[in-house]
Amino acid sequence: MTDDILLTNMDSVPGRTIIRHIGLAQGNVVRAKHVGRDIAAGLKNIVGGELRGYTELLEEARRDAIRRMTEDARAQGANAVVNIRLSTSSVTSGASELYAYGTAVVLE
Amino acid sequence: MNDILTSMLISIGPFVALLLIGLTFGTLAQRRHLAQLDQREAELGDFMLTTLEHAPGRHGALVTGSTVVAFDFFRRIAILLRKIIGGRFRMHETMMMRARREAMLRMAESAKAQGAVAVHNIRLVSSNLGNSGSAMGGCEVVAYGTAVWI
Repeated sequence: MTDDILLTNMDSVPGRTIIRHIGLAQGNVVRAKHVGRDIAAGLKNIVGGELRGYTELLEEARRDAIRRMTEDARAQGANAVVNIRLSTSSVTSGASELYAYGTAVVLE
Repeated sequence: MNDILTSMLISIGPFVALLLIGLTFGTLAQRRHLAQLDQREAELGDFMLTTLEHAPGRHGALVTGSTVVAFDFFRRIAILLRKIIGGRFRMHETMMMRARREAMLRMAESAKAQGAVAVHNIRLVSSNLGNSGSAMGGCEVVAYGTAVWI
């Protein structure tokens, strides 16, 4: 997340002033697990614990969703996104949607 | 008579073995993980984590941490039995809290590594991955917040 667009989940940016609110900026990604990871996770399901393959997969997808939101904000002429919320939902069994949304703003 | 016993053993043997493996490894992993969480939380020291919406600081940036966890075979069967009479699922409460602490620690550690002094406005969300009640699936926990620098 090394970007010129500032991201925060607060409704203001610490130490900066918002001069204009532009509107909603959003990004989503739908990713499916693949068979290799499913088999590994299936074995892990016997002993329990963290499913690392899935953690990495979703981390990657979340980064993509945040990047798309950032691009959306940039296209609208913003230089920051505030009040960001992240959500995950399972679209069908085996596929997850990662969704990031926030308010695009212009900082002083 | 012996034949019936043998065939019964063969049919329920793998199930019982899976239950035992799940219980043993699941409990061992839990004990190890809880000890590791305690240690890592102690290492964080006075790094501040809050749910405050407005916080002091000169610069902020989004930080996230996440983990996907699954119950072991024993706990998955236990939940099915527990569902009949209802009530608290203590084993599963522990599991979810472990996942939450792990996600929060990952977020805090990444913020600390970037030189932040605190993370404010922390949100924790969790979601089901597929059908976690059955053979596959797990639960994802995400922690995110705004890291601030002084």
